[in-house]
Order: sequence, then C-alpha cells, then structure tokens
Amino acid sequence: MYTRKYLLPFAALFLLSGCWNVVEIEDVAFVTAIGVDYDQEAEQYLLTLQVINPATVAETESGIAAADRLPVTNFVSTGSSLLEAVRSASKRIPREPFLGHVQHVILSEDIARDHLVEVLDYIRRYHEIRLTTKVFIAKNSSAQTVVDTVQALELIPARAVRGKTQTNHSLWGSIIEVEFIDIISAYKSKGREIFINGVILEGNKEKGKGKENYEQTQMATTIVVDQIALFRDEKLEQWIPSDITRGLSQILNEIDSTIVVIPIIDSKEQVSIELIHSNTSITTEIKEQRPIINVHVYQVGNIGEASVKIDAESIDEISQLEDDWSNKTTEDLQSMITLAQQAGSDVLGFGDIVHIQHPSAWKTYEENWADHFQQCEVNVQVESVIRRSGMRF
Amino acid sequence: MEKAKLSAFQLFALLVLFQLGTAVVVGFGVNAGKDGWLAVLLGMGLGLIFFLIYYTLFKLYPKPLTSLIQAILGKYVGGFVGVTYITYFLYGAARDLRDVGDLLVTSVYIRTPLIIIMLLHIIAISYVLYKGITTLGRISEIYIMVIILLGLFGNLFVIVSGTIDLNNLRPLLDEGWAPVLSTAYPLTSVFPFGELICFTVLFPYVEPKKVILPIGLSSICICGIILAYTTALNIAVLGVDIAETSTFPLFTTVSLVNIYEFIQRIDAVVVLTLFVGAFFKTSLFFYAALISTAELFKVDFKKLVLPFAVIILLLATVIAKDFAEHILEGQESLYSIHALFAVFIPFFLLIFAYIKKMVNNERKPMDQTS
Repeated sequence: MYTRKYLLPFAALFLLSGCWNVVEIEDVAFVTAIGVDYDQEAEQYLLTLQVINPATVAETESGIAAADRLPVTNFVSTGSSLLEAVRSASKRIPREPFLGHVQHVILSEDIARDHLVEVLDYIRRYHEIRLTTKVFIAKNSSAQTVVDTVQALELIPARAVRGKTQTNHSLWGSIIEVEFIDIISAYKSKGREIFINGVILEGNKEKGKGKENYEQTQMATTIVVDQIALFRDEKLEQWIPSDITRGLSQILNEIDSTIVVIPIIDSKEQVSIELIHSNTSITTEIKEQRPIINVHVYQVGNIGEASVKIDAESIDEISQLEDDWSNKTTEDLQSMITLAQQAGSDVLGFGDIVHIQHPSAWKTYEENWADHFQQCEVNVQVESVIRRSGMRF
Repeated sequence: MEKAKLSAFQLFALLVLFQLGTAVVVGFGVNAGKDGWLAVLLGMGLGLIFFLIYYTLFKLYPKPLTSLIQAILGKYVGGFVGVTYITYFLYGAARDLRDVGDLLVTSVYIRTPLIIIMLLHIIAISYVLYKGITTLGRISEIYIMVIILLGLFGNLFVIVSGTIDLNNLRPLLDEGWAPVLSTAYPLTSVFPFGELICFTVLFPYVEPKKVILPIGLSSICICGIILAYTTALNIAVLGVDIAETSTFPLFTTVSLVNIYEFIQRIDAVVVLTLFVGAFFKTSLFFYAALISTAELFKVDFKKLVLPFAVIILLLATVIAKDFAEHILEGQESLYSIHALFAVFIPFFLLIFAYIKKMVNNERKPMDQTS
C-alpha cells in the first residue's frame, strides 16, 4: 500500500514531460521577413529568410548603436516548391526556423506574374504563417535585394518596412495595407481583383546590404513603400503610378489623411489642402441590363499652405476653393477608375457591390465581370468641405 | 443506474456544453453559404421538435433509454435495439474524441501522434465517469463559467478589432431557399441537436423532473442562437469562400484579431473552447453507453469504464485513416447513422408507445365488461 502511494508521483512524471515536439527557445530561429524569387532557368523558388539575431536586438533596442553586428541575418535557399525551399534552408540555419512571427513577405515580379496562386496555397496550408502577414511586391529589384537592404532608424528591416507602411497609410495614403487574407478573399471573389503594394529601392542598390548603407546621414539605398500592383486573373497586370493610387485608397475608404495641391486657375499660385476625413459610398443601378456605378465622396479638409492670400472670412472664396478641390478629386478618382477599366481589373470591388445590391442581375455578369466592368458607366460625385484655414501666428 | 442526482443548473450546463461542444468550432452550416446562420436557426427549430420527442418518450416511460425501449418493444426486440444504441453511443464518443485530436494535431501539436492526445483525453474522461454523473455535473458547473468568459472575451476582441464586414453576409438568400433547407436537415439539426438523444439516459437523475422540458427547450434556443451567431461571425470576418474551405473557421476568425499590435494571437481561446466542449460531448456519449449497457445486462457500470474507454480510443483511431475521411464520414453519418438513431427510431418508438397505450386503454373497458 505504501509503495503504491510513493510510486504514484513517479507515474505522474510521464504526464508532465511537456509537449511532444518541444523546441527550446534558444533553438528557434525567428524569421521576420521572407523574400520569394523565382529562378526561371532552374524553375526553382529562391527563398530569402531573414532571421533575427536576438542578442543584437537587445543592444539595438536599448539605443546603443550596435554597429559591429547587424540584428538580422539572411539565409537563401532554393527548392522547386516553397515548402521544400523553407525546409532545405535548414542546411544553412543553425536553429529551427519559426515562421509564426513573419511580418511581411516580399514577392518578386516573376512570382506576382506566374506563381501567386502557389504562394497563396502554401500560406493557407502552413500552420505557422498567419493570415495577417503583410505582402509586398519588389518593383525594380529582386525580392532578395529588398530583404537584404538594411535601413537606418529601424535596424530590423521588417520593422522598417512596417513603419513605412503605417506612416504612408496614415499620412499620405498612397498605399493600402494588404494582408494575405485580403489577397485570398479577393482571389476567391468574382467581383473583385487582387492588388498588392509595391516596394521600390531608391539609390545604389548594391550598397544597401550592410552598415555602409547608414554610415552617412543620407542612406545609400532607401526602401520606399509606394505604388500598387494591379492583378487580373491572379497575374500582375499593371502598376498604378503613385499619384493615382490615392484615388484607389479614397474609393476603397482606406484613406486617413493626405495633402492635395490645388492650382489656382489663371495664375501660378496654388493652395495645399490637408485631407482630414473622407467617406465614400458606392451605389449601383442597372439600366438596360447594364450596371451603372455611382461613387459619392464626402471629404473634409483644412487649408495647410497657400501661396496666395486667402480671405478666410469670405464664404465665396472658401466655397470656390471647395469646388476646385472637388473637381481635382473627381479628376483623380476618374483617372484611377479609367486605369482599372482599361486594365480590365476590378480592384475597386465594384463587382462585389453590384452583387450585394442587385443579386439577381449579378448572376448574368458573374462569369465575365471583367468585360462588363470595362464597359460600365461610372459616375463620380465629390462633395468637399473646408473647415479651417489653419491657425496663423 | 447509479444513485445520483442532477440539479436543474447542472442539467442546463451539461446541455449547453454538449450542444456548443464541437459545433461551435467546426464549420457549422457553411454548406448553405452566406445563409448558413439561417440554416442553423432552422436546424434549431427541428432540434426543439427532436427534444420534444425524447421528452415525451421519457414522460411515458420514465426510465433510462434502453429500459424504455424494452418497455415499448418487448424484452428481446427492445434488447436488440438497445444494443444498437450502445454501439451508436460508442461511435458518437469516438467521433468527438477524434475531433479534438484532429484539431489539436492540425493546429498546434503538429508532430504529436494523434493517439497520445486522445489517450490523455480519454484517461481524464474515464476517471470522471468512474466517479459518477454527479462529478460530471459539478465539473460542468465550473466549465460553463469558463466557456461563458472565453466566449465573452473572444467576442469582444473580434468586435473591437474591426475585422467584421457585414457586407460579407449580403445579399441574403442569394441562392434561394434550397441550400438553406437541405443544410438545415440533417446537417445543422441532427448535429448537434439530434445527438441530445443521449440525454434520455440522464433524465431519470434530474430533480425535480418538471424542469427538464423548460430547461431543455431554452438551452436549445440559446445554443441555436449562439451557433447561428458564430456562423454569421465567421462569414462576416472571413468572407464566405474562406469560411467554407477553412478547416476550423472560428480558429481562423480569432487568429485575425489584432488590437493595436497588443492583443493578438488569442487562438488558444478557441482551442480551449473545443477542448472543453469535446470533453463534455465525449463524456456524455460515453456515459450514455455505460448506463445503457449497465441497464441492459444488469452489471455495475464502474466495471465497464475501462473496457469502454479502450474501445472508444481504438475506435477513434481506426474510424478514419485521415482527416478528410473523418470529416466526410461525419457528414455522411449525419444522413445515415445519426438520422436513424436520433430521429427515426425515437419517432417510431413514440408512435409505438402511443399505439400501445391506445390498445391498452381499449382493452381495459373491455376487461371490465366481460
């Protein structure tokens, strides 16, 4: 009886051994960014995994310039499938790669043109990568070069890109934060096409890979988060230039703030307006079996800068300015819509709205929505309000 | 039957945990596309009818299920039907055990063998059942609170994180009523409401008896609404296409929560919910099998716990060779096995019981006259 009593705790030991596939934290390599390229000749994926160097991160965070060691190290591996490439990286990484903390995935243009669906499938199946991971396309370089580039201020490149995305989104509005879940749902929807933000390298790309990039006050290479890639049938179709992408953000109701410069007619003078609020509502109607889309924008802003004297008390002058602003925005939105229509890529999601508002009519458009979208009539109506003319000292 | 009592609240807690159980985590009602939540509400309506059938049977013959069947169909035919019910209960327990094993293996314990997870689970269940139904009832009182708290916080986070897009639920009835109706029976009614058949084993323990009906019906309504809400939430967050193909939609929905880069990765909440739910589902099926056997063959149910645990564990392992087969079999079984045991047999039993009653009533006055 006594032996039994004393043996029991030992029996419990078998249940307390912890997880079956436990990996100690010292043995884990935390991947923060992934670059995906495609080698056309070898028909292989070229994967760049950016791994955090935990010891250096601590120094970097505490503010001491950890100039001797970079906080990240990149490992390159190849494979005919993404999974194979990730796994074969283990030949080079001394720890077990963990993809649960990946901040963003950068795809090369080749991938965006031909292999996006494979990437999406891998992301959905692999249990570690989260659907909220951000996605970018490297516009003028390989994805590997972007992942290799280090930036001043934020020494961890993943944080640098994330910070730039957020500041652009909240202050300038030329990009929209795109996550895997957005891409997958656009891919699955028949009334919406995929769009993905671009990253562009400015400056001497070769000098971006190490400390020499930030040894001077001006970086040799800067990662710029700008422009949006427009897809048609899961293939990269066209890039939207950066001055037009703000139209996309505004139509999709994703704009927080931006600066609009309005030229004053018949003079060289101009007024800059800071957008502080924008709301877009889209209604659709069916006339003679053709869809008509009405985009209505309500925007509020302040005068931020003027090269000409503006009488803030004059209602006429302000309302004139409001009209000018409305016209300018209408033009911008129209050029975005025209661009999308010419590309035959409904990144604006008009199809989804037709589907919701006219379910029965949608059935006839569903199969070849791209054609209908190209021909459909879009009316843009903008209502602008200028609240304040700025406080002057 | 053991000597034990269940309070009204314990019955309620068991009913709620049982119905939410696995249904809240697996893609419930997604076969009806965007209108899945409507299908769930219709299924709930059918569930109320099922429960009324079970309750009326119990009202006519206040005994555990197998004795009740014997009372209606006679010793031998009833005994045979009783044995088939025991196998059905064992099968139900094995299915739920496999559910929890598969979720954990696909989502978090990628390399742990399935049987290890299921083994630990069944050991805990066996121990509880060995201690009797009162213990299970008391545990349910604790866990209903845990589930309510998890549900409240999980919902709060999902709502606050702003991932809900109600446009994903529109347009209503895009494909018409046909997919909704075909999903409501049997996919969202027999599972999980039809599975309440195993509560017929518990009814004799409940004191006072008059609470069974109101508590049963109200719990079905509450769970139906929660399940319909969850289905709608999954579709509103993920969009119908992802919700349909996702292995565990609620898991994906919750994984998207990210509040100011601070509150995120709360997926564990869902794993915990499934764990608790599947624990009670497996336990109740297991217990139904135990008591039915004990009643039928007049043995002490405690002697049966260990052999039945082994049977359930092995059954759960061999039930399907992979996850796809398990899910497919689950859907198929709703049309066949579950529909038979949860709907058709109880329905015919009820008709037989009434006929028997009528015959008896007619015979009585005849007896008096002769």
